[in-house]
Amino acid sequence: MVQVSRKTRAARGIRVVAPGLSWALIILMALYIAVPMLCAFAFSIYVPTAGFTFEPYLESVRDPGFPGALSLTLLITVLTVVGLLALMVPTMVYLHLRAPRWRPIIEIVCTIPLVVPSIALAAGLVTVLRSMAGFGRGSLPAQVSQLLQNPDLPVVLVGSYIVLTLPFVFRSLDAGLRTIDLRTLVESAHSLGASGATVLRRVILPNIKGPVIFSAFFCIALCLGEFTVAVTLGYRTLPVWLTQIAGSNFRASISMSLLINALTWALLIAMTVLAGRAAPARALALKGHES
Amino acid sequence: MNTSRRRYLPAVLLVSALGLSGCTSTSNDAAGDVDWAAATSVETGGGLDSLVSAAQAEGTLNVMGLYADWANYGVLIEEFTATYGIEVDNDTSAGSSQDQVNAIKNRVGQSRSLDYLDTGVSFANSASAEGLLAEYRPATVADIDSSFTDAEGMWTNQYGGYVTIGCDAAAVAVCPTSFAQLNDPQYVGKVALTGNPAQGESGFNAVWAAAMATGGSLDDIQPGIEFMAELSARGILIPVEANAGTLETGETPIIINWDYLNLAVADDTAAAGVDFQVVIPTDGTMASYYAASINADAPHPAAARLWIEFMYSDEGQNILLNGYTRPVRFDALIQSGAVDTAAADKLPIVVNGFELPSEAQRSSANLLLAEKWDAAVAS
Amino acid sequence: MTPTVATRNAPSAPGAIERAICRIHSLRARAERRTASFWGLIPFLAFIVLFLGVPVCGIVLSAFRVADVNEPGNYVPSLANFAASFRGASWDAMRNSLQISVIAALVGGIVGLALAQAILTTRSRKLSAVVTVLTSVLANSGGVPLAFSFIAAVGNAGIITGLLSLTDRGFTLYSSGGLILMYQYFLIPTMVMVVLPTLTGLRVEWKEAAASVGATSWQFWKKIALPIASPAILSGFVLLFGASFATHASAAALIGGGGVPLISLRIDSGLAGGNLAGQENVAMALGVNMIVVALIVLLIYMPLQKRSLKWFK
Repeated sequence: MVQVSRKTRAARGIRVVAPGLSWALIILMALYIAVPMLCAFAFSIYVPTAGFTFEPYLESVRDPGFPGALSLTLLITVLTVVGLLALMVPTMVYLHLRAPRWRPIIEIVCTIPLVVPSIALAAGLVTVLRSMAGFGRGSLPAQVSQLLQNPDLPVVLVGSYIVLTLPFVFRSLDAGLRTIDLRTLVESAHSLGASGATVLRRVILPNIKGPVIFSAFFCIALCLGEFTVAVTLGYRTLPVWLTQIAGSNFRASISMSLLINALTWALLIAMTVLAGRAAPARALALKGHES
Repeated sequence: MNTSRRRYLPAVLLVSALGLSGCTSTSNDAAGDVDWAAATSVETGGGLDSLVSAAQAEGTLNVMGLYADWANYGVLIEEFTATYGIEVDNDTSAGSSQDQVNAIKNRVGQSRSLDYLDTGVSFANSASAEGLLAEYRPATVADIDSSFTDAEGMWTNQYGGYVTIGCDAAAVAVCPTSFAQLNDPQYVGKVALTGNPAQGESGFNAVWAAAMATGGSLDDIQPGIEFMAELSARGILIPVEANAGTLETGETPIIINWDYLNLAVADDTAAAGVDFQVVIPTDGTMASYYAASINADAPHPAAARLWIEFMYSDEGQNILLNGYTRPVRFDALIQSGAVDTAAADKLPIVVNGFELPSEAQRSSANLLLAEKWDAAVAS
Repeated sequence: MTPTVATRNAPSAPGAIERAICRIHSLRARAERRTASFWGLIPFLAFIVLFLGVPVCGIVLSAFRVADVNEPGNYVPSLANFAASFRGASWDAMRNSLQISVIAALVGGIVGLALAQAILTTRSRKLSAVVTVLTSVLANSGGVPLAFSFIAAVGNAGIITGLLSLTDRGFTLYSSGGLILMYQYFLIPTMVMVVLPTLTGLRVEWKEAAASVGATSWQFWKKIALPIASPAILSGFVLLFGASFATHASAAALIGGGGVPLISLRIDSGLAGGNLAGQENVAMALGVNMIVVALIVLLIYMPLQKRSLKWFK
């Protein structure tokens, strides 16, 4: 709370060089990001014999595979975000409160997905699922394998996506929990009579809003863009469907991928604005605690 | 009188009961007690009508990777459904030969396993060796040369194509018609394949065709590798994977690929002002046929067999012809006059004959390519 | 229970027996705490075993199997896959992938770090708000659309290539250099994403305090700021290396025709079948090699991380 008075300076970090040079670098990077995207956009709306047209965008939306792919991807995204937060937030809080000795081990475990290439992970999954199916019709391993791969609720895909986000989410939540005085907060809340769930919901979560929001964003972006695991496991998510229609209508697939990018940005920015509006005073005061 | 009738009554009842049960069992047979999963041809299964009703009773056909504009599968599927009322569940999230074989291994016993597989011949052979396929020969197999069928009847070729050079006449001054012509400075930065030859059929056969053009043979693919290496060193061959997009932007105006794929791309890009001309190189000819097979564990065995019959019928083969592929019964169709001449005319002219490589020749060529390719075209 | 602290403050020195009892009690209490603390982590550990441990075991086991020549469909244990992976083209691909990944990670790491600091220096609130969203999305970009956008921009017939006459200057997108250039599209945002929160935490007061005791700017950075930021910087580098090492879809679209051997492409083709059936297990062996390489990187990274983290204790 002592930080409040210094919030405007503390939140900003240290100046290294003059702002002018910094802006130059930022603009250079912005160009690097924008130029390829603009070239792809130009390709998507300009057909040499027909001139400028948004027809490819309409074609991509009209493709029969689009609704199915979209709904599957949305379902997976929601399940993954909910699953990730439900799994990781209590685990990280527990880790910091009650099991600090386990932290290094859990950190290593959470960094392993970084070093296992996603294609190898997907291949391993397929191998295991196939060997389970090989136990024969109706046997328990085969039934579990079928359940995990249920096309309407692909648990195996949700689980894999959670694993893929772990390195980033662990780091973010870990840093966030380290900067707040978790023990004091929890003990004072307990001494005031709050139950465990209440403590989590009303005391801890508001203090780690930044990391939680970041985890959700990263997870959403991953689910909307992940291709390798989905295609190896045989699910027609949005990115997989995009690659397919590229074979027959390349321009439409480029249009759709740009559209998905733009929509993801819009969605996440909207979420940022909403989150910021929800608790502005606390967000400002805690900016110094963000890490 | 009453006593005598009553004495005969049990006998009469017994005989009529036996007679009636005989009738009902034959009518059950007619309805489809036939196990189509074990039938090795339409005849041994009990005739086409029986097959049709059994297939209709099953109601669905599971396939994978039959993309709409690959060999005109889109129309083939539509016509099949329109004719027989059987729904086709086409899983297009994957499609390579390996994906299909993996799918039937992974989905053993599941109702979403595949019925029909369209794979490369190597994959069909290895799947057959593992006992994954069912023996079945289409009714029209008499028209098909034995080199296009498996000795044990586990698979049959259904369509194929030739390696061609596709060239955008609107972007290139002089379109090359042979491999020798390709090796010219005017084509620097213009030629591309659609994938790594060590990893994909089309690139693999492109290199083999180049080998045929430069003194190689089915047993010797090395000259082809050297030719491509030279093209790459001179900057003529670029490593990007060509597709409709790179063709339209002018990145890859010359693409070496199967005739049916190049012709399909020609149609797709015509609207963008691309004049894609497709020719079979005059100095190197290479062709490859795909293999049709049935899953031994097919969830819909009758529908699978009906699909095969449809595909090898005159109508089915003409539909494949309309997809720019060369259907396996092409010669028979021409002789009987049943061929769709308009579609046949669109196919590029074959100048030289060709031989299909044996399994041994394929794998040794492939192994050599896998080792040598990246180093040969290294920049 | 015998209090462990009280004996320390006892007016008379504790006897050997009391000390032993003390130690046993404290050990037991510690053990109880550790086992007690374990239970809360069970859901997480179970999840990890199921979705990470099992697939990795699958990969490792497959890598050691080879199709039985005599009985198709059966597999026998063998080291042949690994032997194949260390020879010829596969080994070239491994070396090339390593080289490209290290260079790409270095470039992305340095530029990302500079960019993160630049973002902070501008002190623009709008920028900071948008950066989280941007980096999350850009870090996940890839595949054919990414490659195509680069082809459309700086390919041989690209729009920018024409404007700036890039081909005359000897630039070609279809090379290791072009690949590294394309990789930065997701590498730099990833670095910014990882490093920005830590740099934000560097307090101006610390710099002022350092200045007040006579430290120069350079000394401040060398002795204070960099050590504090180094865990994040190291993490970022490892992340970038892993990401470049594993990329395959966009790389395939760009240089899939050949000439830039990459191990991720070989694995992809081995699994998707390519021309020959039965290459999957060799691809698994390549996958295991990749994991081993990445684990080695991790092993180097962890002790370095520990040294940096002592600043936070």
